Formats: sequence, C-alpha cells, structure tokens
Amino acid sequence: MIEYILAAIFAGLLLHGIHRKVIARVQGRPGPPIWQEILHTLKFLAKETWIPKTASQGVYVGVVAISIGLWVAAFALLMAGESLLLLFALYVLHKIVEHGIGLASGSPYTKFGAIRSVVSAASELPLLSSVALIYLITGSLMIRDIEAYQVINGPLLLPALPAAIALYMVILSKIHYGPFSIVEAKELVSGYWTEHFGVWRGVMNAAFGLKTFVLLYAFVMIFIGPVGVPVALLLVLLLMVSLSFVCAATPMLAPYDSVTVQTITTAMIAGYIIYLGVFA
Amino acid sequence: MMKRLSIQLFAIISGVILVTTSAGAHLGIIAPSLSAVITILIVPVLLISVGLLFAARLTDGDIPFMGY
Repeated sequence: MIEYILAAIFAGLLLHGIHRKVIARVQGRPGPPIWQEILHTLKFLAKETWIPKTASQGVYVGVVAISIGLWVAAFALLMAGESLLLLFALYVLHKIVEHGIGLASGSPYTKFGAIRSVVSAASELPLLSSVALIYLITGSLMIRDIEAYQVINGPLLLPALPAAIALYMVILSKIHYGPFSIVEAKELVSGYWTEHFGVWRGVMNAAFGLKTFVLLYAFVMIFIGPVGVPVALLLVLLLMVSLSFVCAATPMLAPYDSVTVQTITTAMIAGYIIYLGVFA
Repeated sequence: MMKRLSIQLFAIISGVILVTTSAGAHLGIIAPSLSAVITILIVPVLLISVGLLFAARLTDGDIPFMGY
C-alpha cells in the first residue's frame, strides 16, 4: 500500500503545481514550473528544523503526524471502497488539525489563522447536503455500492448535480489560493501554518498533496463511477484545472462572506433534497 | 534530544515495516485491513524521520528550541 500512498502524494503535489501554474497563466504571469511543489516539499525536508520556545511541543509535532495519518487513512478507505461517511468524518477531523496547527505554536499569526479556521467551520455544511442527496438517490453510502449503482444507472453527476456542486464547493474550500482560503491569507504570512517549517512543513505539504488527490479522486469515484485509473486521473486533472480557474478569477472572501455563501448553498440543496424526498 | 543514529533507526525500522506489510498484503499473508492500519500508524513515523535525516547534517539530528 505504501507504493500507492507515495504515488498519490506525488500526484497530489504535482496537481498543486499545476494549480499554481494555471492560476498564474490566467492572471497573465509565467508562474512556477509544475513540479515546484514537489521541489518545495523536498526543500523543506532538508531545511533546519526547530520547535518554537513558545510552542506546545506535543501538539506542535503531533498535529503534523495526525495530518499525514488522517489522509493516509482517507486514501485507504477510498481504495477499499468503504463508507463515504467515514471518509467525510476524516475530512472534518482535518479541520481540527488546522486548529491544532494554528494554536500549537503560540504565534499570534498562526493563532489568528486558527481562529479564522474556526469561524469558517461552515465550509463543512455543503458536505452534509451532499452526503444526504447521494444517500437519497443510491440508497447507500458505501463507495463500492455507489460505484455499482453507477455501473447500472450511469454517472451520478447529472441526477445528483446539486450534490456534485456541493462537494465541488467543499473541495474548493480546501484548495490553496481559493475564495474560501482566508485561513491561509498572506497578510498573516502563511496563515495557520506559518510557524511550521523545515521537516514539519515538508510532511504537511505531503499530507496536503495527499488530501487534494483523495478529495478529487473521491469526487470522480462518487459522481462519474468506475472508469479505470487512466481516465480517472485525467478527470482528476480536469477537475483541478477547473478549480484553478475559479481560484484565479475570484477574490478571497472574508470569513463572514464564506459562511454566507456556503450556508446559502447548503440551504438550496437542502430544499432540493426535501423536494426529492417528499414530493418526487 | 533525538540524535542522528536514533533517527536512522526509526527511518529504517518504519521503512522495513511498511514494505513488509505492503508485500504481505499483496501476497495474502496479512489481511488488507491490518496492513492499512499499520500503514496509517507508521507512515507519519517514516516521513518525519526521513525528513529529520535529510536535515541531520545541519544539527546532527538535534531538534533545538528557539525563541522569537
């Protein structure tokens, strides 16, 4: 399994590089090479590593281990076709990791990033409506059952379009430089992870690369179905490029605006679910 | 403080465990679920120790504490 994990981390970091490149091209800049995030990760792994004097040592190091462990677990669940609910439970745990990363170092910059992360917890709301609609249509939350449903009935993308939009928003909220990425805003240096550098940053980069790959691959598995690895990877790439276009063309929203947009989206999908469940 | 030798030890042991469990799961000797759990627990150890090993030439493996 370790070989798949390393490949997924590599693919995720490459996707981050492509993301930066597309954003730069849309904004009329040359941008970094697409392997820049891989080089970044290797560079951080070789840098001097220390723990700030003001940090809570256990939490400061522990959250780094948890962040990579979390997404390895999510990747394992995805590969085994296990429950979507478990996958999204791990996704929600990632939010706690964000808080931990921000609060562990004792730096005011990272604390402020962590507080923004707490305030923008509504980014998890569209997830709820997405899961509910998928269950309503397929009758199961097991990924293998959802794939089997799609083999018989065709991709879920159209019949569950609101759920796909919701999940797309959820992924958008976790992508760098996105409209909902205020937790990483540059006026706080790098947001909640400013004080994690050296090995800690390298491992977190790897974890976040894996996170991106898992979320995008999950989207393809849930809404397109079993299409084979090469086609799935191509779709993951297209999905990433579309997200990059959104990130390049939208401003970074304030936490209040993020919450408003996400809550309204959730309410609209909830209305659609009620319509499907009660009237259709 | 962790020294270079103990970091090397962690990196080698965790790497061997990961390769063994992965091979074991492929060959059907170990249950895939057990392999997954071991991988989830050991991957952070491997990545952090390999990272510290890369940087060990700077501080001989020490993780110093620094103020602002």
